[in-house]
Formats: sequence, C-alpha cells, structure tokens
Amino acid sequence: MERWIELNNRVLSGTHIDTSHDAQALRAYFTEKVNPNTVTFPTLAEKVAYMTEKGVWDPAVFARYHPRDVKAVFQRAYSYDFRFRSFMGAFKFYSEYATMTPDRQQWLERFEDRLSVTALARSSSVEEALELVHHLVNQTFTPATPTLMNSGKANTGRLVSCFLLQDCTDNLDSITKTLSFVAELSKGGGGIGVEVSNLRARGESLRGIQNVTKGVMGVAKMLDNMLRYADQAGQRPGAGAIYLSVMHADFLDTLSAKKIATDEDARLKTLSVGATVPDVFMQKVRAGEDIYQFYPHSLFQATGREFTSIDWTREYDALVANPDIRKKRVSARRVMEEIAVTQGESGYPYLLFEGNANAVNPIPNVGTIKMSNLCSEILQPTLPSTFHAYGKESQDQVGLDVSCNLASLVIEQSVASGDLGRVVRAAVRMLDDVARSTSITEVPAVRRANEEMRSIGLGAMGLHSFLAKNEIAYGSPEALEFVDVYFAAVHYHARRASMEIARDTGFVFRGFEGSRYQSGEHFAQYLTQDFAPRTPEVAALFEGHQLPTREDWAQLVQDIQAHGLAHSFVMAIAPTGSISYVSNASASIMPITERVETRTSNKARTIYPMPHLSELTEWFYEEAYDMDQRRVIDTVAAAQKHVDQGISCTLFIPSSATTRTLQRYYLYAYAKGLKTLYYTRLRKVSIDECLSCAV
Amino acid sequence: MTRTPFTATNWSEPEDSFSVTFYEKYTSQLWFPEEIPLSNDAIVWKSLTEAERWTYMHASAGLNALDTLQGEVGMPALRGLVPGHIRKATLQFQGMMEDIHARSYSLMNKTFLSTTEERAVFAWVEAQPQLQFKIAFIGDVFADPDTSDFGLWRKMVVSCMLETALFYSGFYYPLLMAGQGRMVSAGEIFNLIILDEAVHGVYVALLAQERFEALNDAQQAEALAWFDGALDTLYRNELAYTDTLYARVGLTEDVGRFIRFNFNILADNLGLERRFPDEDINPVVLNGIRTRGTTHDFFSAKGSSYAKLNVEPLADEDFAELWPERPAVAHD
Repeated sequence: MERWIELNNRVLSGTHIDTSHDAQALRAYFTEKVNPNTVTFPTLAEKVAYMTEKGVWDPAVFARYHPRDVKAVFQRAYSYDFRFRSFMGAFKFYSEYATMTPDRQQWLERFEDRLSVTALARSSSVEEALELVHHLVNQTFTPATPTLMNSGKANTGRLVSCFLLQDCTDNLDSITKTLSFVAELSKGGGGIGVEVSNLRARGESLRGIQNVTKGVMGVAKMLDNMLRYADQAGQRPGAGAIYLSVMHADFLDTLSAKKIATDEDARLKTLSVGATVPDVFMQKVRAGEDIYQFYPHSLFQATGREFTSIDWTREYDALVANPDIRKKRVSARRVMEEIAVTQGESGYPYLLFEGNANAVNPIPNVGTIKMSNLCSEILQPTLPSTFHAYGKESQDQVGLDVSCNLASLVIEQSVASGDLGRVVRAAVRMLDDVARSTSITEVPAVRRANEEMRSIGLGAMGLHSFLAKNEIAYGSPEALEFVDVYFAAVHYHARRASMEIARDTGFVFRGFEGSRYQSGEHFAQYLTQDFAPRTPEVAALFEGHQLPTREDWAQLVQDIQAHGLAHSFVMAIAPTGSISYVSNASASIMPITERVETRTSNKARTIYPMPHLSELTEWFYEEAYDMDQRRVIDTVAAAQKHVDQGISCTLFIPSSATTRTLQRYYLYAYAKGLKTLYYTRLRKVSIDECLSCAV
Repeated sequence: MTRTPFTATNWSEPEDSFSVTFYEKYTSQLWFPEEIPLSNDAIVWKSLTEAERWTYMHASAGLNALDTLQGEVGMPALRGLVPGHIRKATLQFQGMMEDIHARSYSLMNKTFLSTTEERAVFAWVEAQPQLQFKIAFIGDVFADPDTSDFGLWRKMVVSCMLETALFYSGFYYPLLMAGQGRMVSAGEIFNLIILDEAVHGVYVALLAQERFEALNDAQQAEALAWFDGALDTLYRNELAYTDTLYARVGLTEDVGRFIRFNFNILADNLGLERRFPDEDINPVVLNGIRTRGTTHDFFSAKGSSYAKLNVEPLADEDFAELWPERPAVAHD
C-alpha cells in the first residue's frame, strides 16, 4: 500500500474530518514518490534536446522559437513557485497529465514543464507564450484535458475530444460509416454525441417488407460495444451519447435500455442517452394531453422529409392529421414520468429542450439545433451528411458536424487577477490556436465544421468554492447577482477577442452573414441594461475590475458588424472533472456534492476535501443533495443568459424523492429557459438515517 | 375440519415500526450484476500477479458459497419461523438478493477465468476445510429443530454473523484493490453487495434483539454463553481461513484486524458487548465500506447510488405555480 494513499484516506477515518492528513499525504507524495523519480537535466537546453530526440516533445514547436525565448518561458513558469494545495490535485496531475518514461517508472515533466510546453505549442510568438504561461501556471483558466495533456507532444492524441455527429441517417451505408467515425474518434479518447432520430423505428418496413426493422436499439447496441472496444489503448474507455427525440416511436424502448431490470440484449451498459424535447411535447404535458410519436420511415415515405428536419412545434398538427404517416398515441405526462423513473434508476436520459435552445440560436441562418454532446453543454446547428457505398463516394454529401474545444476559467483566480479581460483574451486566443491546429481528416463533416465555424467553448469552474471562500451561500440572491455580472463580463471579453481575431486575421466564420450576431439581435439585452453589481457585497468582489458598460457593448456591436467574428460560438460551461481537482476548484458552476469527496477511479480511491474547507467556510459548503434544486437551476439560468451554447446542469436528489419531485424540476428548468439538463444524481438514504426515522 | 383463515398482507397496518422502511430500502436498491461492465476489468485482471489473482478469485468463491447458504437455507429458515406477512416478505426479498450476490460472484469467475480454472475454484470450495466447517456450523444452527425464542435467536445471530462479520474476510481484498484503482468494475459489484449486506445485517439484528428480550434472565445468560462459544469457534476458524486466503499476498494480519472490527460491529447491532479492543484498520478499506455513494466517472462506471424511485404523478398545482395562466393547449 502506498503511504500517500493511506494518509490521504486517513482524512475520513477519525471521528471528525482532519485535513492535516491531506497535507501530509501531499508532502509524502512529493518527497517519496515524485521527486526521487523525476529525471533531471543539468540545463534546459539538454532537457529540450533529450525530449525532442526521444520523440516526446515535438521538435517543430521548438523550431519556432529562439532557445533564449524558450528559456524565458520556462523561467517564467518556475518563477511563480507554484504549489499544489491538495493531494488529489497533485496526484491527478502527476498520474494523468505529466509525461512519464514509457515504462511509467519515472517522470520526464514537472507541472511547470508541461505548462511551458503547452504555452509554447499554443502560441505563435514569444510574447504570446509568456502571457499564456502566466495564466496557465497561475491557473486563471485551465484548458480541457486533451489540450493540457497532449499539447507540444510529438506523437500523441488529439487536442480536442468533444464531437457531435449528425450523419447517422437512415440507411446502412450511413450507419456503418457513422460506426467507423465513432471508432476513429473513440480511438483517440473522444466523447461523442450521435443523433439517431432519423433511424427508422422497430417494426417498420425494409425494402417494402413490413414489420422487419430492428429500430434504434440495434444501432445503439453497436455504438455501445464500439465505444468500449476502441478505448485509447486502454487509457480511457471511449464514451458516447445518443440523442433521440421524444417524438420518435422507439423513444420509450430506448429509455428502458438504461433501467435496472432489463433484458441483456436491450441493455446499454455505458452508452449515455439524451432525449430531445420539443416545445409541443411540453405543451402536451402542461395540458395533460396525449402526444403522437412518429415512425420515421413512414414519415419519410409520406412527406419525403427526414425526421430531424421537422420543426415539431410548428408542423405537429399537420403531421398528426396526415393519415399516411404511421404514429402511436401516448400520454405525454406518462412519457415524462418514464423519463423520471429512468433517471432515478440510471441518471439518464439527459434532456435537451429544443425550443429553448433554438429560441436564442444566434445562427439560425446556418441551421437548427437538434442535438448536444456527451456532457450536454455543446449546442450548435448541425446539418446531416449522406454517405454511399465503396466506389460511389463521389456522391457523398458532407454535412456539418461539431468539434468543440474547451477551456474553463477558474473563477477564484480569474477574479483575483484583477483583470478579467486579460484572462479571457488569453483563453480565447489559446482556444483559437487549438481550433487552427486541429484537422480531423478522418471525419469530413467534423473537419468541415472546425474549418468553417471554428467554434470554441470557454466555460468556468469553482463557483461554489469561490462563494464559500467569500462566505456567500450558493444560490442566494448575492450569488445569483455575482453569476450574472461575472458571465456578462466574460461574454463581453470573449466576444471582443473573437472580433479582434477576425479583424486582425481576416478570418470570419461561415454563416456570420445573416446571423443574429450581425444584426445585433443577439446582444440586445446589453444595450438596454447594465450588468453591474447592485449590492455592496458583490461590488466588493469585483473591486479593481473594469466591468463592461452599455457604451462598451454598443461599441463592440459596431465593431462586430464591421469586422465579423472568428468563431461561431465562444462559450459553453462543461462539467469539469480532473481539471478542477488540479486547479483547486469545485466542479463547474454546480454545488459541491460532499464537503469531503471520495472519488473512485482506475488509479485509486482518493479523498478530496473541498478547497478552503474550514470551520468558517463549512457553513457555506452546503451539499447539493440538501438543497432545493431550484437554487441550482436559478444559478444556471443566471449564467445561461450570457452563454451562447449550453451549461451542463446536474440535478441532485435524495433517493427518498419521487418522480414528481424530479418532474417539477424539469418543468422549472424549462420555464427558466435552461437549454439542457445533464444527468440526475441520487444520494441513497443511509442505513443510519433509515434507522433513526424508523425505529 | 376447521382451518385458521389465511390472511392477506396489510401494508397499512404493519406489525412493527421498522419492517416497512427496510422493505422499501431493500427494494429501492434492487440491482443486477448485468448492469456493471465487468469486462472493463479483463485487462487489469491479466496484469495481476498469480498470487493476487488466486486470492481475489478464491475470496469471491468462498463468498459465493456463503451467499448460496444464506439464500438457500438461512433466509428461508428465518422467513419460515418469523411471524408476520411483512417481515416474511422482507426476509424473502433478502433471500432473493443473496442468490443474486451468488450469481455475481459466478459471473466474475466466468468473465475472468477459463472453464478449467473455474472448475478448479469450485472444487476448491468443496474441499476447503475452514470454509466447509463454517458452512456446516452455521447450517447446523439453521437446521436445529429448536424453534423457541432462544432457538430462533441463535438462527438470527448466525445469519448476522455472516452478514456483518464472516463475509468481510472475502470483502477485504476487492475493497483494497478497488481503493488502489484495480478491478474497479468488480469493485462496484462488491460495493453493491456490501450495501445490501449492511442493511440485511442491521434488519435481522433488530429482529434478534426482540427475541433476546423475550428470554428470561437464565435463558439470556445461557444465550450469552452460547454466543461467546460460537464466536470463539468461528473467530478461530476465520483466522485460519484468512491465513489460507491471504498469506501469499502478505495480508493475514491486516485482514485479522478487519475481522475483529466487524465482529465488534456485529456486537453493536445485536446490542451485546464488543469483544475486541479497537484497532487501526487500513483507511482505504474502511472508506470502501462507507455506504454513502461516491463520486466517479459516469462514462465508465455506474456508481452504487441509483435506485428505484417511487412514482407520484404530477398535480395541477405543479403547473399553476410556473404558469399561472391557462394551460398551453385547451382541453376542449
């Protein structure tokens, strides 16, 4: 047993939480494990020579800079005297991000090395690299895992890991093509969302033979297996989500695949399931009426249209009235109840409120939003592709999928920097570089999207830890005010950086012409009201910051009209995992689940006391399961106003809750304009609690 | 011929204050091993040393035998003797879960072992003297025709001994492994089993306390003397069994401490005095038996927290509070 793991586990073993064991574990980990097992070099030049010769670092990165500049970047990284503040942070970083020798016995990189190389790789001048390394080491923002892990390395995986595929159209060539794309992306550790609503339902006709098709589940099972098979050489199992419309005849079948008691042939073990929910469905739920679910092949034969091209809310009545389309009638509330039952048993499905997402889609001229990704924060228009058999590829039509690269601001450090604009600008420029450095040639519609749309997603993490440190309760009026002001400012600076890149390089994303960005519609709220602090408590948090005013926005809107934007989207708030431990922040903008978290992974079971946990902050670290989830939804709604894509929003409920509790949250989230709900997490009532209420 | 009329189960008028809660707790945590992607561990399994694999697999095979005993003999015996429809239903559900546990161990064998290896492990179970002794000792108590309060108490006590103490020599290794990030999916199955066993142990111990209180002073003294003797016998046997399982991975001492710790928990549950002094248990293992849910990567693991929710329909006021105006679509 490794001593640092044991010390770390000791945090919980006494009668009260003792975080001093965590500090001991951290010290033991460095003095007994990391330091003695790190390869050292007399000079930086020798280190660079060794690392590039051994094929670890990419020589092309170092060829771009004078050795003097490389040295300046490394020196800057080491000058901050960075120290990890939790065992978990150090352990995560050194077991997952820092490069090791091939036998995994010794480290070749320290924290500062990894970030210096990342800064050099993601910049085009030494000035930029010096600026970037400043932010990376001070953790004002942290790139998503693949960017942090793979930047500047000669022979490793991709810089992005989030993809959305809409090309699973209803024919065998398309299905097998999609499977091969999924395998290709999964091989590199990607998380993949696949839209499957165009697939014909179970029991439809095939080449005129009635009642023979296997439905969505047949394809879903193959995806489930494929993702577990192509697992990045065992480093990380692939992960994927299918998105299926509640209007699809197979919807309830597919839900059952995530239930506890389900047939083995119909079970989806690791594939996530998302439900796309149009407004018309919510209207039927409200009215307590039945809804029709449609058979896509029959729909196609009767109207010549693909399932995902239908605007359900506008066209529903006409389609119901068409006697040639096969459909079935179910109670809308029963469908929603099934969704709640399945969430209780498995956490799934995610919900995508199509109406909310499309109402504020800034580029409806490109297309509608039909799906999301594995973590339900990416929301962009997609266009279907059609593929043909071997030898007929010339007839292929490449649509528009999504590749998204992400980074997250660390709220505490970004506010402490005193210059949010500087932080956001550096983050956007880094993400822009990631997009320009990526070309997924194996999946043409992903490559096309990246080249033409260049979308990026800047998010944030550490909201709850920041609030606790400042003794503000999560979801309180002050907290909501902070969220509103913070994300309005982030939005301003991100959009401005995107405009500056367009202005300076001449690259404008495809679809800017005719978008709500160009018309200014997308920025209307900023021209009619100020997003400045109203209470002294919140004003104090932003002391020293220059917050954007109405006049600043008016100028920016003009500049955007003049120069365009380089990115179709700039923001998305992802559910941060590993990088929040490394950055000493609570996850995303969600409340914490436990003051001291027990985390199981394939490295170890580790214990993580929340940042700044003390007798003073404990009171402000209310655990998510003890909260009315409307406070979480209010928080997300406050941020969503300023986020052009989506926000991963998890619901936390005790297992004593009923399906009604959950459904009321769905309704509340929908009414508050949330675009998506991510999974639901349950906390079991413990035996002690059972006994104390029963006996 | 007159018969006592057979009655139906009236869940509105339970026979005690706790059985319904336990029934609801059990049924809400229903699970099946097929939900867990066990094959994710197949590569890790190959990377374990010979000794590690041996201990892991034989520890689980021993558990399989004990869960089979509980599912086939123990729970049905208690269910037959304990009065009350709700109590019987609760015990019967527990019995079913024991069989599901046994099946999970067997699925692990099937996933990780070749058929020849699998047969060898099952043959080992039949021939392992301490394991067979433990089963015979407990089986005899279950089979004892004495159905007085004292007889029933003894049956309940041995059932609790299994659930709360004697399973844990087998649990130790998978918990330790999962704590080090090895065999994580199999570790999830063990976690789910431990969640069940913890509830089973507490429930049957509550029933046992009732029986114990029904005894007069002399009978209680006799019962305590029997308990001490049985505990001694089973404890000594358990240490020997532990040595067989764990000597090759050098953990005999650690597991011994864990067994004593769990015998103490058993005493707490039964309302009896602790037998052993407190000792330091490996904190990694201890955190593994904490029965709250943990945080995990949702894309590769399922987690132990999901449950069957009670269904309750939406009411009109749920809509009225959000949309005070009329519903979106007219009823007429």
